[in-house]
Amino acid sequence: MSIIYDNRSRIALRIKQLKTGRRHSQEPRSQLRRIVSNVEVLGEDDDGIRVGANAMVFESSLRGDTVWAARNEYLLRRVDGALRMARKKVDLVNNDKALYTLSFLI
Amino acid sequence: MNLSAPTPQWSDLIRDDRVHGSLYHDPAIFEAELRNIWYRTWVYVGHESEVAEPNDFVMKSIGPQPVIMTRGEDGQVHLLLNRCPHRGNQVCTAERGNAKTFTCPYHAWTFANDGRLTRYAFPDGYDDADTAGLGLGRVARVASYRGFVFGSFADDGPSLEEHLGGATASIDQLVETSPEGEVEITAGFLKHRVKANWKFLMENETDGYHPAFVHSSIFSVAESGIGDLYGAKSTAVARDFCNGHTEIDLRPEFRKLGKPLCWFGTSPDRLPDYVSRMEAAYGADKAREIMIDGTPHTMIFPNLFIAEIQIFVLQARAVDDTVQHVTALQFKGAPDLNRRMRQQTMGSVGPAGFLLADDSAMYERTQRGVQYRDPEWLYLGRGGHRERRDENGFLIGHATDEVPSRGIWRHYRALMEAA
Repeated sequence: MSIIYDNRSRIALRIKQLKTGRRHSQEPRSQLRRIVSNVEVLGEDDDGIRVGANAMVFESSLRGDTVWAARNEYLLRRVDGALRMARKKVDLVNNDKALYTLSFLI
Repeated sequence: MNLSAPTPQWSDLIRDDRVHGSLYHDPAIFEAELRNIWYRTWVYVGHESEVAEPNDFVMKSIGPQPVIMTRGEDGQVHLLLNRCPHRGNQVCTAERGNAKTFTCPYHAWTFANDGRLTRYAFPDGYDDADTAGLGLGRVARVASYRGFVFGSFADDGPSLEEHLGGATASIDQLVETSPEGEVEITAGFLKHRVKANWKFLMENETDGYHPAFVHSSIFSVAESGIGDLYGAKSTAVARDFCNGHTEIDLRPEFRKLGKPLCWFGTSPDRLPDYVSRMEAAYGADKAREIMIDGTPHTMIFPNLFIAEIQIFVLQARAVDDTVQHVTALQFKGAPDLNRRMRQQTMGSVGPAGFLLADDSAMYERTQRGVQYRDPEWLYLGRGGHRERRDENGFLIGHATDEVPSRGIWRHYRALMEAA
């Protein structure tokens, strides 16, 4: 089981829910700062460009301060000369442990 | 020197229609709950399908205590404590696996998966008599009901079936959703931690008053019919099964609609395999009845919440630290249904869930709130004037009434006063 397992339509639903103003776990919204580092191009095939990176996200919310650390993998595609993201997988370092509420899009 | 925590007068803290805020944040009360509830009554631990094969084991818990659930070579399920009798070291650090023995890494003491000490290093250092009777600690009583395994640290007390009482009907209703009459817990768990007292979670599970407000955001954008089940005009019923077990019985609403699989937001044409297996297993009429009624929404005291498509296992770790372990229910012989169960579970619950993230915000806000000075009490009187008894003698009320909370607190007080 994944904490978030969204396809395109579920991401859209998440945004719609946020925009109601009644997504209580994001009222007030979490204050976030992100660092993405150690970016590596892992390979390229017909599907797109696979990229790996380490990520740290600092979250300040009503509950308190939380640090989220992850290994991310991305699938990028060139569309009209720009890079577009087709997939993003976030592998939280501590995903074997019980985790606090994660109600922003990591 | 008196080492025991001061015992409060429970009648001063728990009244018919209100409870004192300190019940949720006083560490001495949490210690008393460990003694009188978590380490005494029946607590849900795991499901037999999680240790399906001989020598399977899986790490579980009872409150703050880790518990290793094992299946011995003889097929018997054991609940062991993860503590070597030599120096107190943990003998198992794996989350799950298959092992006939556990060897402590400190001095190589080795235990069978039923807890017996079978070997230790350099045995000539001991007389056999020295080590007789040493072994891993055990949960004194282990019993299961239709695959759901419970443990009690008390040597004696009510049997599991006596404890479950009227709530056995909910488990019976649940397993009938499988054409083979069995639930399997095989989808893996999301572990959602909150800074709140376990009782805020337990009460919220069968609080039918909050969904219309806490979950209005997702109900409105997902065009979900769930909100109406908890509306002012709903015919659904809140029920106190006694012994702390409570439910929101949604069947009156589903029967009014009379559409099979409506409870799951789908219809027979979308799950044809499942429907035909159900009809083959139960006959067309009974299968239709089961598929209209759906699965229960029942909180089994103190820690098993059957939530229609998933189960939540509540783990109280400290007075303000609780983990909800949640997994999609999987019904034996229903792969097409199970796939949707997993998809919906990942969407709705866990740390990022459309529903549970917002519930957790409420648990944590109430946890902070009860530590403010005034008013000291929480009011639980909703629907007191319209409580009535059903045909089995259980107290019921409107789906949004606080019949369940009052029932939980009556049982809680009885347990705490039985010290």
